[in-house]
Amino acid sequence: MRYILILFIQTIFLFGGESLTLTKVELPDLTSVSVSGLCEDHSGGIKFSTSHGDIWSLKEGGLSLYASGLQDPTGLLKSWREGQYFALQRSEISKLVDENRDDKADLFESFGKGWGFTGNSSEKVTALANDIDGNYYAATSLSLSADGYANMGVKRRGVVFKVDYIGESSVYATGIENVVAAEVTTDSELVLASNKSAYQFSAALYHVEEGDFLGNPLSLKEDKTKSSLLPKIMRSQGKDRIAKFAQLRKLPSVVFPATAELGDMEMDQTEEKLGPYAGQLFITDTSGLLYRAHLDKVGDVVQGAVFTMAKDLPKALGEVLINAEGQFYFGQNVVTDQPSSGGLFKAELNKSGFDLKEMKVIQGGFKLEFTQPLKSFEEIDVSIAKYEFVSSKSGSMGEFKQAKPSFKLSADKLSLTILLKDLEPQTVVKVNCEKLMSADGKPSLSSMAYYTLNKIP
Amino acid sequence: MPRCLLLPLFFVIFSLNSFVSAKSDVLKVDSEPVIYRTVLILPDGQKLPNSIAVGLPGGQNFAFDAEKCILTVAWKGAFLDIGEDLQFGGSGSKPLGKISYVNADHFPIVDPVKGAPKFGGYRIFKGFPTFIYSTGLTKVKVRFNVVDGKLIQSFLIVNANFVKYKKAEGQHVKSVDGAEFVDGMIEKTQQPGKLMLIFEFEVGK
Repeated sequence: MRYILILFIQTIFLFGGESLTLTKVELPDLTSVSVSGLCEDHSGGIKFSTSHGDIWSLKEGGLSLYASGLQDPTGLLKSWREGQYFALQRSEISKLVDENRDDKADLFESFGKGWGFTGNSSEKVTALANDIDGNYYAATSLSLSADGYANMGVKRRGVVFKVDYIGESSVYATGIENVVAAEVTTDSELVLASNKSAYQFSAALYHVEEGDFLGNPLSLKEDKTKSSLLPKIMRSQGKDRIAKFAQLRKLPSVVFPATAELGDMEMDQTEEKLGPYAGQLFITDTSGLLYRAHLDKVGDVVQGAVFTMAKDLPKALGEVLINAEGQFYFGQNVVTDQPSSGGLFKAELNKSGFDLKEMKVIQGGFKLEFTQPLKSFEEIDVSIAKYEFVSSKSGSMGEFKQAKPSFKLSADKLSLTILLKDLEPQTVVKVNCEKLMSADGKPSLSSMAYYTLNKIP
Repeated sequence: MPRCLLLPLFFVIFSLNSFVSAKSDVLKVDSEPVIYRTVLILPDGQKLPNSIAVGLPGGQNFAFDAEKCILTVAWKGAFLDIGEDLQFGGSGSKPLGKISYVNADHFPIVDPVKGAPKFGGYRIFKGFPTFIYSTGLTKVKVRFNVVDGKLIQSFLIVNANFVKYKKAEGQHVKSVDGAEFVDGMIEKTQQPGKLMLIFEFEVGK
């Protein structure tokens, strides 16, 4: 086995208004690697895949090659069985087994497959996730020709795939276009992170249930319960046709700002290791941002808020992992004009700062929870925009209009109620926290909050 | 920009893009076999998307198809040019050296076969892969090694008393134990006390 001494360059970067402290993990002999997947190891270290098809083990003091020769791996998961991992390749989910316990995979078992793959480079598969019942999920992109048209002859493209514990596969949801990550929450809800695309005006999180349709009609034929509606819809024209598709689609749980380019998503499952942020989702933006989101359930609708948490991070941070100790790892892709880019970062989250922790919808408004007492609410700025998926092919976000709320601060100054008249569904409520201060004069770590309101309690 | 210029401009950009060729990047084989799963692009342009390419020390190389469960191509010399794969996001790899065997579709185990073969994966032992698949209850393991500079493909078949192996028309396949092909076919029957049937063939010229 090849071990390479790892040097941690102790250059500490403070990024994003002190939300995170980042350290670059130097990996000698492994320069310019695009990290494509991250997972925790059975022995307390981490494993990461590269776009060149390798999987590496990183432990205290050593780096070793766990597996190689995989086809464009884009996801890694730890199995509950010691020595087993799941890797998402372009044509299958593979179970990698270290049979002789030398921390090197010996068996590459074909575990789940069933989506069409012709070898076209547009045919990606992303967003590997699993639930506690032993089901695995992944999302396939559409198969596109060189001139950008979808190749409809390739089966099960543009769908969310489910593979059960014995490896049987089925289509779980349709209408997928540009999915980058998936997570199963502690409440067993599947959440997808999807970037802007032809049928989605902005990046979004979706709460996905079996049979859901997420907007792109090209894969609707894969859902046998809805495919019978297709001929009728296709007979209609223009806006009428778009409106019919829009009625079928699932609304996003969280809509991101229009500039967002999501990379990956990780849910905190460390049980209180992240302090006030316990159980929240952390989402990378490849332009150098980190978002945080929490989901709120109103009746049967999952919706929630996203917070702009850290800015000025290194670009192209595509992967994120939170280990059992609550430490963050970020995987970076190689950026063409940055020779030292690519590789791994380790990060510590600032858990003791002043921040807007949660935003929840209540009757007649919203309730904001803070990590520390708020100085005053006068600097808070609230605006609302309507969003829709029916007016054009891709839908749109309307202009944010200033709201005139009234406020009610709790006696302990830890929660603020925002009362708004005439709340409407399919709106995004933006709260600008840039000027907020704690009672002892600390600025807010998060700068913006966006709540996607689909259902009003 | 006037809309009437957009379409011609798109075609100009698209045409220029198709002239951009990938920088060659040769995947080398030293003292241990190298396994690389890829979209294999044959010299005639044919794409084999489910290829597991294997380069063996000494210059014998081959690709096993993880969907069709067959040896699709063997070649001698340098292993793979993976330049396109690395630069254009998994576009494919090209075999280097001289092609000695090509079989894009023919599945050789003709009896007993119940349903399409189902790929089970591969196991690595001392660097060499053994490919595993099943057809009905019959399990097949396929191994490759090099003997006297020749590429040998071995089939180990479990749960079958009787097996017929049929070679693809026009392909150079020679039985290692000297058994002759009759109408392109070799038959084997399970011997008492043996757990599996074994076929061994020399592949390629």
